[in-house]
Amino acid sequence: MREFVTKRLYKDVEGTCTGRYGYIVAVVAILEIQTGKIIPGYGSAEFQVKYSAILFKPFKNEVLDAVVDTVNKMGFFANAGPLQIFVSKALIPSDMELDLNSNPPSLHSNDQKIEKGTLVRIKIAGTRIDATNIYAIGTIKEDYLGVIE
Amino acid sequence: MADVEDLFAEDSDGQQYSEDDSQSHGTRRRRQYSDEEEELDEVQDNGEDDDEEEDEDFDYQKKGAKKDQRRKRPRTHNFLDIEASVDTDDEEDDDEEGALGDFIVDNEDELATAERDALRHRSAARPAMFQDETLDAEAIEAQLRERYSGYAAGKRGAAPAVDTDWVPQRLLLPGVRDPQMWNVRCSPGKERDIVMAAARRVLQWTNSGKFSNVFSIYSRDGLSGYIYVEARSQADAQAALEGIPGVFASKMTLVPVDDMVDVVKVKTQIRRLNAGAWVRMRRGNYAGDLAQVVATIESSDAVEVRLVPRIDYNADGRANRRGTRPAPRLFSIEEARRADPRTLSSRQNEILWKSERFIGGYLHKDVRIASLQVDEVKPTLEEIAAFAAGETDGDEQAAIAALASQAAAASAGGVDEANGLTGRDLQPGENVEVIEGDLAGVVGVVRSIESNNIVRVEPDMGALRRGARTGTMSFPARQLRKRFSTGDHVKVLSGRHSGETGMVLAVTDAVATVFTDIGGSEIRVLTRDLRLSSDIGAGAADQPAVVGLDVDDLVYLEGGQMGVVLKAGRDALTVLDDRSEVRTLAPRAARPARGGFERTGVDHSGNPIRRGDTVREVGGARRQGAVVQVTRFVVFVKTRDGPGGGSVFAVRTRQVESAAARQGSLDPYATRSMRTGAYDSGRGRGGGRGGARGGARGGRVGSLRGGRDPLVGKTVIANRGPYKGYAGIVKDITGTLARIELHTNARVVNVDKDKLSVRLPSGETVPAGDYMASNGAGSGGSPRGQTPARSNGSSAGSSWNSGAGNDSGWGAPPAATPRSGGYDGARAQPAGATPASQGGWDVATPSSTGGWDAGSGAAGSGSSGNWGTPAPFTPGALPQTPGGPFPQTPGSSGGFYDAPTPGGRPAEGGTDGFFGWAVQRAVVVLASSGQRGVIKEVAPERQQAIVQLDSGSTQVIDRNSVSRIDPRPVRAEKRDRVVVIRGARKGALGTMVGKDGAEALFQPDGDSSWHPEPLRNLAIYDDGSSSR
Repeated sequence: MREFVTKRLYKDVEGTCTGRYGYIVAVVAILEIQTGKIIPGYGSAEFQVKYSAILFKPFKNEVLDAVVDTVNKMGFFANAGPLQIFVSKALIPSDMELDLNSNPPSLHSNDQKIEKGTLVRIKIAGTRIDATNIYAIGTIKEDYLGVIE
Repeated sequence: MADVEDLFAEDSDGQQYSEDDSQSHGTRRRRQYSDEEEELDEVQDNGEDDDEEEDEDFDYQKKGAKKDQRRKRPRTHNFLDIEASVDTDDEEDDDEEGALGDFIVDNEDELATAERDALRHRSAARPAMFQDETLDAEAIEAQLRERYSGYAAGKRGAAPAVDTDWVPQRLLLPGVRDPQMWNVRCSPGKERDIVMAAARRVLQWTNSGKFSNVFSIYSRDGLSGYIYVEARSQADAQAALEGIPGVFASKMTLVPVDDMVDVVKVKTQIRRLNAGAWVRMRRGNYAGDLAQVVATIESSDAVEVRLVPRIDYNADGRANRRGTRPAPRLFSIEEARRADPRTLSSRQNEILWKSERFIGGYLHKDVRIASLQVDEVKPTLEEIAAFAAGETDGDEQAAIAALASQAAAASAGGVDEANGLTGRDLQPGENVEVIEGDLAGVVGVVRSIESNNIVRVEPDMGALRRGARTGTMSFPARQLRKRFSTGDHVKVLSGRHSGETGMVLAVTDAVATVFTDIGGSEIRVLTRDLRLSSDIGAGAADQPAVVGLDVDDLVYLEGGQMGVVLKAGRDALTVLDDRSEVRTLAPRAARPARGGFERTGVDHSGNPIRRGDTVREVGGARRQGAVVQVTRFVVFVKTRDGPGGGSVFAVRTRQVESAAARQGSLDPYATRSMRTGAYDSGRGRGGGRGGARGGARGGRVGSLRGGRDPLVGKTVIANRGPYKGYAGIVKDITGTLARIELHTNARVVNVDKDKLSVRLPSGETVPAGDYMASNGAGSGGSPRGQTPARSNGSSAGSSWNSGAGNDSGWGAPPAATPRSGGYDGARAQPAGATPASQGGWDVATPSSTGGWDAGSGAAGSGSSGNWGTPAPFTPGALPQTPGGPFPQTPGSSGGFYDAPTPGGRPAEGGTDGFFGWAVQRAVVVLASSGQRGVIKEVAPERQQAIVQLDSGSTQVIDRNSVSRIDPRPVRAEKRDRVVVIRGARKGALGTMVGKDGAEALFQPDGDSSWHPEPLRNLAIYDDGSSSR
């Protein structure tokens, strides 16, 4: 039973996102499994489990590294682990030009090029936190942000 | 005239008539002279004067025009005549004396003469004073001086203070003693002309030495159709206006004394419109349109505005049909030339066409301010953008921003609240920035909003904070601008994007760029329309414009095209058409594609595509996504990238490959798939349990093509997984997944069918697998492919195959212990068997729920021959505990009975159910013999029961004899002792207290409340006390 609950916890919880705590990256330890309670009407049981976990919750003004996922005419999307960050054209230095015709589409200035797979350093400009998801917009329009060499 | 003469006749004897007489009779004449009269007298007279005047007026009207004229003239000429005679020496003395009586010495003869003279010598008599040669200039001057000095003071009712030439303004307010003011109707637009004409007349009278009792005549610019006359009496006012065209002198109303000041009050607040300000047209072809003030025209109440013209170039002179007006579009010289080249001319940068002036494509018009809406203009960004046309694309934003701030500046300069913020736009707690005045640049938080658009702001800035005044400061709302910073989550309050939410990307002046939560696009919104908000709104999609049109719906467009709705706004639909182009159209331009059938398409390899399938492009960008809509030729796919949903694209069905098809597709519609050989692999579940299913499916496709999954449309409850506990309606079944529209929040989710229970109309629930099994069995008797497949091993399938059709075949081999794998398998296996075996009903039921007596009896008696399918757990332990820890158990079992069984035997009448419901001491009737008895003993697990018949003998019923004997429960009547034989309360004893249709009211023992219970769930209970 214990094993089942443990497994179930890993399965249900890891990789999910709660608005309150952010992404649950990994469960580190299970601290306590309480006695299960049978739910009236359904025949299944509910176990309260206390556990500690590694969380990832992005905050405004946090600087983090991300991998560019797509580049489109509005800007680009980058992934920092489970978090997807949108960087709008308004928040990209104006010397970066958009080239949608290149394959893959890219943004480039004289010495930098952002395309799919590029590593970028992004500062989070704002987050929107749902009950089950987190969306973020970021900026690279500041010193020391942008493509990581 | 007669009455007057009579009156005078009366008085003729007395030259020294009394004060009373003068008041009552001599008034009219006296009034003519009254300039020099004592004010005391005047005051006393006033009230009665009016009455008399009115009486006379009344008479005038009665006597007709001729008489009227006759009556009136004497009055004036009398005056003139007498006035002329005033100048004679003898009368001058009287004048100087100021004695009252002396003027009215005239007897009637004299009056009559005067009248006659007046008629004859009207023109000659006028300048009487000046005609008199006996007077020199000085005398005339003295006379005039005397007359007019008295006039001024006496008339105004204040004693002529000799040594004060200054009177406080407030003492000059009119009172009851002062002349009255009359409001006269006239034809609109002619006010000024009338005033001038009347003034000329009055002046003439004055010049002619005759004192008019009309003091002022004027009109008000704002008030068309009325003029005002200040006069002693209505008659005087009428006299001044008589005969002037356009005056309706009969419609005269007295202005109350209190209102007289307001009539002449000049509003000091003159609306000044500055160039650049936004206004709206009030009427005409451009009613409601936004216009921008280009210039104010000096000394007039008009301004020059520019508009986006609405021109119907082809209008052939006729007035526009009502209700249709051309869309606003910049002026096109080409079209104008084509339509009417003659009236087209140009000078410098202006173009004149049909006497209208166009500059840079905009119509320039001189408009009176009265016909403009100056307050609460609230231009939207889109409207402002229309005035930024002509700029290149890149500059457009800048131009809009410039226009917006220009408007703000203009509003700051003059028009209150016309363009900028008002107190209503702000809420306490919002961040604002001061944009003008000494404190421009100060940032703060709104603390409160007072009336008059005054906002109290608590400044954020350190210096202001540290200063002595740490409190709030007041600003007019228009000096403020809402302040947002990048990353703020905001909601749009009004305008086209009303209701949308998103994150602020950038703010330039009054325009913010917002990245929307839904759809992930960028919109530009005025900061005025934004508010910080943490909730998430779909925006315009919240209130679909077209009833029944929602995002992702399929629509017909004009020209036979189809598209899907990307955004359903109140006044615009954003649609992706089948060429993958995004279009914005009026909601009316799209017709929702309806139809009860499900559209399917055929993919690259001939497999069917249905909504919800995952497809990938063949070649091209190899985009992948979920199918939103399918038509015969085009599939609309939603990619999963991008936050908040991703984007939709359209692609021809032949250019995608269904991901489901790769796993092997089985679809009732997919006749093609037979050729592809994807057939005998399970529908998305691998081909492990091939054979039996294939056969079953073949049968089904052959006979039941087009049948629907029985779960579709049913209300279900998820009993496991993330949606556990949610109820919803099954919209569609794809493989093992059911698309369920949740009751709670109208969302459609995919849930594994295994995790569902069907809620029956009775309120009971049955696991979905059972439900399908029962229904599949019911409909047409052909077993559905899924049913056997649901069992856990191929052995189940084979058992079914072999067993189909003969009872003994049911000897489910012990190997087929599906339930060892969990109850899923257990319930499915017998269910599949249902159609084939009599008794299968019961078997299915108990095993599905694990709590069934009869079923478990059948299943549990592993040793007893054919029926042995040993259950791993002993469901028999449960049936006696209704309402126990597993209340759903009996509930769902009962539900199974209630399930519609169109093709099956009616569960009620069937003997098969006997062991399912039989309980001890229930009264039964044996249908075979008609005998009645009481169940003395029942062992459902062994399928044996002993019935004590009323005749005294006992009858043993077992599995083999049950169908022959066919025992049925005896229906209870009111006040019977009853036992519940089915449903949630199974086993409960109680009393039946009433009946309502097929429902009985059941009162359990030891419970004072009544519960409705289907009648068929009750059987008479014989507790042994009553002898049968």
